[in-house]
Amino acid sequence: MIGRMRAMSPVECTAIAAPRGLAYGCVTHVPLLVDYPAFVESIRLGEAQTEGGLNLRDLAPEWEPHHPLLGGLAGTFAWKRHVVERCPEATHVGLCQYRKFVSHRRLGWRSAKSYSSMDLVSPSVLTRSVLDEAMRPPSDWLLSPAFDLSSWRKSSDYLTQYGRAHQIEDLLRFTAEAVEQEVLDKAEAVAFLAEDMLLPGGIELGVFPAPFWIANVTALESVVRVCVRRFPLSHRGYDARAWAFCSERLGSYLVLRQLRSLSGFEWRVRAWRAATPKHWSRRFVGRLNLITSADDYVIGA
Amino acid sequence: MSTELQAPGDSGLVYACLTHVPLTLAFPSWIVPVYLGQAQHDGALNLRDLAPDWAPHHPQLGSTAGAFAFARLVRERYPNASRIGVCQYRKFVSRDRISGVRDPRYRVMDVVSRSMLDPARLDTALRPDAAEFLVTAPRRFTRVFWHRRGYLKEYARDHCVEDLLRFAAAAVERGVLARDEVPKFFREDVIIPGGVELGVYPAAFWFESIDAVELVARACVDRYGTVRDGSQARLWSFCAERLGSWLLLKRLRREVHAGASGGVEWWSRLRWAARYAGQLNLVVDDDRPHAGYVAG
Repeated sequence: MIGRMRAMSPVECTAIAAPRGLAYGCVTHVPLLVDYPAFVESIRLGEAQTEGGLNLRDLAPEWEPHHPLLGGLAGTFAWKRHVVERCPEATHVGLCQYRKFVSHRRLGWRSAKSYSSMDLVSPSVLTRSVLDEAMRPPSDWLLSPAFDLSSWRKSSDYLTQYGRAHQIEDLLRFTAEAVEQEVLDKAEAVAFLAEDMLLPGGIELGVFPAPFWIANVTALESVVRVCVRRFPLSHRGYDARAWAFCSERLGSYLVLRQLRSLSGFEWRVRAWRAATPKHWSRRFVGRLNLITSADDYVIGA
Repeated sequence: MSTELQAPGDSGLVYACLTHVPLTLAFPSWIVPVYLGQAQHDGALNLRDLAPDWAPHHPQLGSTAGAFAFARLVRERYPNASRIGVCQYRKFVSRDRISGVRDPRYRVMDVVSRSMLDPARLDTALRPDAAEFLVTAPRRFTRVFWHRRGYLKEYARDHCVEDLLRFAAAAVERGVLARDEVPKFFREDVIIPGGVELGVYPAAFWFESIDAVELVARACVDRYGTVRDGSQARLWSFCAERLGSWLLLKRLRREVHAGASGGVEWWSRLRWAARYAGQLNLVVDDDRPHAGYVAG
């Protein structure tokens, strides 16, 4: 399933500690809260950039000015550059953030009240050995649990949900650019806006087959590049991060599109779901963890 | 009321015919021809004179540019107009059916042969009489109640979907569509062909609507230099028709006391269509067989 990666020198790709061709990055703009396993490399943004580190300013200098608005997404583009240039033999790519990661088993038993698919885990229980074992993907994909935007009493989708939470015109423009960049075809643009299943973190959290991840992050990058050039948003306060919000949804759609092409079958009646054992939801979904001692998830805290 | 119509502005009605080709029908004297593109000529009411800022965008806007020009003309010359009418060189809305022959491709439209429209008959057909609104009969994209294609999906099938997305984004930015209105606009399954650019409307409503459409179209042409070929050339006009249709639907549904999405949609549609819908007609040449309407 996953071939063993040929050993490289640490200068080229320090992910050699990963068991199976896995290049795993952790995007951070602050000092890390836990001691991540040796196979996880830190991609440093903003104030966290250090001499000799994998810095955004060195890996993707064109994205450096946009970091305040793109947040971790700028780090994702930098990590892609690193993987393409320094880890060409990686078969799988993993990505976590300084306080969020996906594990293949449950590590914490408290769920965030405002984000029920996210487990709250105290940093004290996350030793390096626990993380080393829990973050290793058991198969080709390791994803956070997807959740339905629709419920038994109301239907929703990316467009409606985005309009409730943010400024809807941004998602419309982002989708238009995705069509123009040929990331989505015209029928998919409609399906994307009508999609009601969201994979938290999109293509920026979890483990993915390298060819899929590189191709799709490259596609995502092309859309974001046009958007930041065409629509300056720096005056917008919280919603200035619109392209990052839109990217999470497009990333989620691109991953779901790929997973739905795999074998297995799922029955869905609104929020009720049942799947065959081969279906991706039974094979590739782990737990999304938030490293915190607090009682709830606070965006951007 | 109808007998008083002799010149534009009589009975408060100002009615334009928008054309980019020389007119071959004998339109009545109370119709104002507005010329676009190659049809413009000295001494006429031309787009380039009435709205020179829109003249370069005529290929992307088609007759919609003429509607913007006509709005300026009415404001300037007929400030007391109470009703506005708009038709095109080969399309108009009549109160009653004329030919009874449906277009084979576009069932909501009748095909009328040019020879049937002598000046007197055309005059009679175009008169709205006392009607406050006279619009095209509504069309549903889907006939089964459990499925809705909606404006977005229908647009994606026939045109370039990114244009409608951008147009809707600009409409939100300019305050023409509310943020929570966008999903409803995209899901709307009833269209009034021609939107606010084909038929007769109360002047206050028409100015408010056409100004809104113009504001959005301006934002789009300023931001995007999109040029498309062939049948997709009039991209912003296609979007303007849908926005106009949505604004019109909201108003007509309000007239019959249904909500913005129509309440019990089919019931409210029956009620407002009975009051306000006429017949859309396409004029065709007698000597050329008509295989079906092709936009553009």
